[in-house]
Amino acid sequence: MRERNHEKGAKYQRYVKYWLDKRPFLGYDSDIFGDAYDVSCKATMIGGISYDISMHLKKDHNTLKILYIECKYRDEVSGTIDAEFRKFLIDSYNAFKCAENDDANAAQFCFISNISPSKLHEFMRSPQNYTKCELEKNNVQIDNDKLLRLNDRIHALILSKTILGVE
Amino acid sequence: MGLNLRRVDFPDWIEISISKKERQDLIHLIYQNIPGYNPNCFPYDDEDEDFNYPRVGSYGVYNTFRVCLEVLTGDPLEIDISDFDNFELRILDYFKENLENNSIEIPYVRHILLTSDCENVLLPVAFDQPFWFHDFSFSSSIGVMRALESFADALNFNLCEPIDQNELDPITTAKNVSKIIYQFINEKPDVVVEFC
Repeated sequence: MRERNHEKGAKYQRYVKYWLDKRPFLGYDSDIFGDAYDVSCKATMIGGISYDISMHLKKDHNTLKILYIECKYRDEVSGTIDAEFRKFLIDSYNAFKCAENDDANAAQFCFISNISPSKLHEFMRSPQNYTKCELEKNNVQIDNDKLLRLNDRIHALILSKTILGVE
Repeated sequence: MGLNLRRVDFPDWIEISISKKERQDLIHLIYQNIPGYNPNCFPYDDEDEDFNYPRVGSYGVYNTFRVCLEVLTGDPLEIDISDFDNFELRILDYFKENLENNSIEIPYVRHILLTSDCENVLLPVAFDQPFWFHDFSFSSSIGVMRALESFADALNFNLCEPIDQNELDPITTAKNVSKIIYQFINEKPDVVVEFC
């Protein structure tokens, strides 16, 4: 029988889901919309990019936004998460750019991890500028209007195992 | 994001991931588990540094694949469901109803079931049992490929076919996961792969 330490990532994702469900997020009420491993996985896709979890963001029981979440676990002592964060930014830009207008207008993106990307403070100062640098470094063609609109739709949240209560 | 696959330069990986004072302990452990191990025998090409490595799926997707293997190779009642959420319980029920429980033997299945779903390193040499060093697990990519081949034989599908994006049931998900992992390893079977 498998022991629980064989599923560090799955356990982390599960606890992130418990933590997020029904928690106010970005000023909205929220609940889980889609999960990447059953038929609801279609609800985790936007612009051809798959995310791990998606959530309805609601006001007065009306869904106004969809939050697409990437969830990443790395060892606290030895792990780094910079490559994954970079990939999230590029994927989210591409998803936002390729999505249908209505989908893009309703979309919010959030990267959730147990450890912090090393330059998180630079991202927090200006998501737009930080994302632009990462896109340029990776030779992604930039649509400045899309990038500007992405600025207040892209987020990062550090949820340590302690906060989540993961054993 | 979830689980991704990445080819790594193993000596570099050790330098980045393992503290200086612990490196010798890891090397010693590898020698114990892999007689004749040569740290420089794994080829690596700089072009593998491209960060666009494949996404297997969320951690939950990979867990679906592992639950599928557990049901096929063992007694589903022995699966620890204490942490499972409703999605996972539904998937387990689906496998129990649609697969013949405890029906096949998959060689090297421990290299998939008894290793971590992230921070697992697949070494391209054959060895019997996976092993752990702190939070890192080490499995044989040759063993993993043999296990995936047996899994594909049992469910009668071809690992080299494209993944199926139309069917979304748990068995198709498990097949898709096995195809992504197999095809990635098979592309460069001599290179060390990290589940990251």
